[in-house]
Amino acid sequence: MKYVKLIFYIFTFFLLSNYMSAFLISPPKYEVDFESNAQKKVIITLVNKPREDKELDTYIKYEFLHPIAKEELKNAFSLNSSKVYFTNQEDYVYFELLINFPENLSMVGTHDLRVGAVESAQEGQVAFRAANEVRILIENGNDTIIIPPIIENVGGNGGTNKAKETIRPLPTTRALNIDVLNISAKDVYQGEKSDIIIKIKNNEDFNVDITGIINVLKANTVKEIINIPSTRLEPAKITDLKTFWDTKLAEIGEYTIGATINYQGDSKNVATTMRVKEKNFLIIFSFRNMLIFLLILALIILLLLIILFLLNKKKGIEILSIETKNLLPNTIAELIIRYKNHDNQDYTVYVEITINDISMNVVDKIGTDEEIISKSEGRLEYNWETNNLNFGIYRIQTIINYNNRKTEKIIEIKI
Amino acid sequence: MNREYVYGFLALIIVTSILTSFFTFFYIYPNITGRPVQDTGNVQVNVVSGLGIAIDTVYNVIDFGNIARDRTYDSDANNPTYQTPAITNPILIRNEGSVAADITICAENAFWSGSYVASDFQYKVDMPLLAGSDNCGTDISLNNNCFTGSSGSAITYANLPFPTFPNPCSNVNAVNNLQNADTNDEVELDIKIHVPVDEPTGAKSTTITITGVDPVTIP
Repeated sequence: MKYVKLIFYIFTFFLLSNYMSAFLISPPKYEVDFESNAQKKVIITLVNKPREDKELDTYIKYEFLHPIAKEELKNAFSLNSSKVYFTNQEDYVYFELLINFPENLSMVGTHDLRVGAVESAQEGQVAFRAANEVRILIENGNDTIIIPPIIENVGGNGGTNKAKETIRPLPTTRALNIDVLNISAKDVYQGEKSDIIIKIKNNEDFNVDITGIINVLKANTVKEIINIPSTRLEPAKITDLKTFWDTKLAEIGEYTIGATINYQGDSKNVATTMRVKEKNFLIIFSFRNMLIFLLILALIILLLLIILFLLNKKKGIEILSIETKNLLPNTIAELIIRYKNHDNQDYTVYVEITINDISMNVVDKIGTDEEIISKSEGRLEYNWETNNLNFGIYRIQTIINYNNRKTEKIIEIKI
Repeated sequence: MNREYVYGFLALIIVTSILTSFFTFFYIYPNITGRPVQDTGNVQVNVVSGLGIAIDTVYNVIDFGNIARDRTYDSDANNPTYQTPAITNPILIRNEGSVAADITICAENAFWSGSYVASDFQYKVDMPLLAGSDNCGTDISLNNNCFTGSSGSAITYANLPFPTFPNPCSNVNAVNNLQNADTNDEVELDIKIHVPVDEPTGAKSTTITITGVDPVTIP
């Protein structure tokens, strides 16, 4: 019993130690070009992992903007919702960052805005809560990230704040030369898969690892996210990343397929549109599918014909053999025809025996009516006068005619 | 057996097989999901992901219990330099996302209301040594599989930032480049407190926000 308890405790500990209440945010980073007075929207996805009821606060953080840019952009950003809610039935919720750029942004470079979501804190003396943020990189001119001075809080004495500024140098790493050439996505009928191909060129002379995501949007709402895990781009080559979107749950309409490719602290976006068309059974078959369908149909018909042929061949009266006895010139030879009636029916048959010489001249002919009973095997015997025949090779053709059908067998004999 | 029945049975099997193949091809195959395709690159398809830092639900709170003025306490049960109550554990942070992440940290307030200095409330990150946690290696700065200990991570005690109006928290990393693979995606967070000599009695509490973000180049 104590072992059962021990196992129970270990199991419980294992469950507890591996249980994680978490949420994910996507994309991790998003680039947006500064455009004077432009209005833009960034859709941010939160993933409920594992599924449970959750309430998260959303926020915009300006601390990573340079004070000058922060002042210029202070009215540029807003969220469509300050809270988001998950139920234990939902995998995703979305919220939007609405951007309303001012006329001017004086500092050239990339500005780092943070947009995130934060969960509730646990109870405790020193309690903790998790937040996850998207880096919204606002590009204005070049891709050097502008880092604000560090404000280091050195402590206070009953509310007397002392703060000092430390100037951090700009990063010296250069941006990698990666070109996302294009993205293509095929129009498909509802339920089919749309092939998505992203062409990326690595202009560097070394391997570059990339990751990324593909957002499938309809009317600016994210409908599905396809993850692109780490992929190695060979130097100085164009790489085709191929994947697909399964539209079995998609609505009819036009979609935007937007890909964000991330690599070494940088990212690039590319987008295209495609249509999910209504599935009409009469036109759903593409030419290729129709060809396959016709081939299969032809195969079925061919097989049926073969089977019917085989079945028919074995039905009716079958001539099993033709035998001869006393086969000499100027005598009476015997012709013995062995037959089998496969049918469950009696027949009155007309037996026609034709004897030809090697030049196909008819040398003799025998014709007679016979009765053949159902499901039986038997023999028919005939006398054949071989007067005036010479030694040589002859051909005996036997035809049994019955019910507008006939069965035939030919043998060669030597006299 | 009657030959007619044998041929009939065979015909039935063949036709059934062909029809089954036909319906499989046209109706079942289109519903198969997750078909990875490969060309020059290697792309797998799965819905999801992104960036996600989470706090372990077992190791998510630090309670120092009853504490005395002018004494120092910390939660580092692995290396108890200071007075560490037996029940106190560090916090375990895990990267549940599909990309590496930097982590910043910010307290809600200064925790103390007496004559405190910045070093009275400090934090550091460490390789996880809690039961069941990841094995990050042997040396926190040089041979650490979980995060970059050599730069951009607070591996020795540093003052815990908090907003001092109008200034927000310092925008520096607590953890640099926490990996996302299941075997090396964890980091411990330790808190050290020193109780000011004139700290009023009563319950103290604060909330610390741990924020995950896409890695930033460390200058």
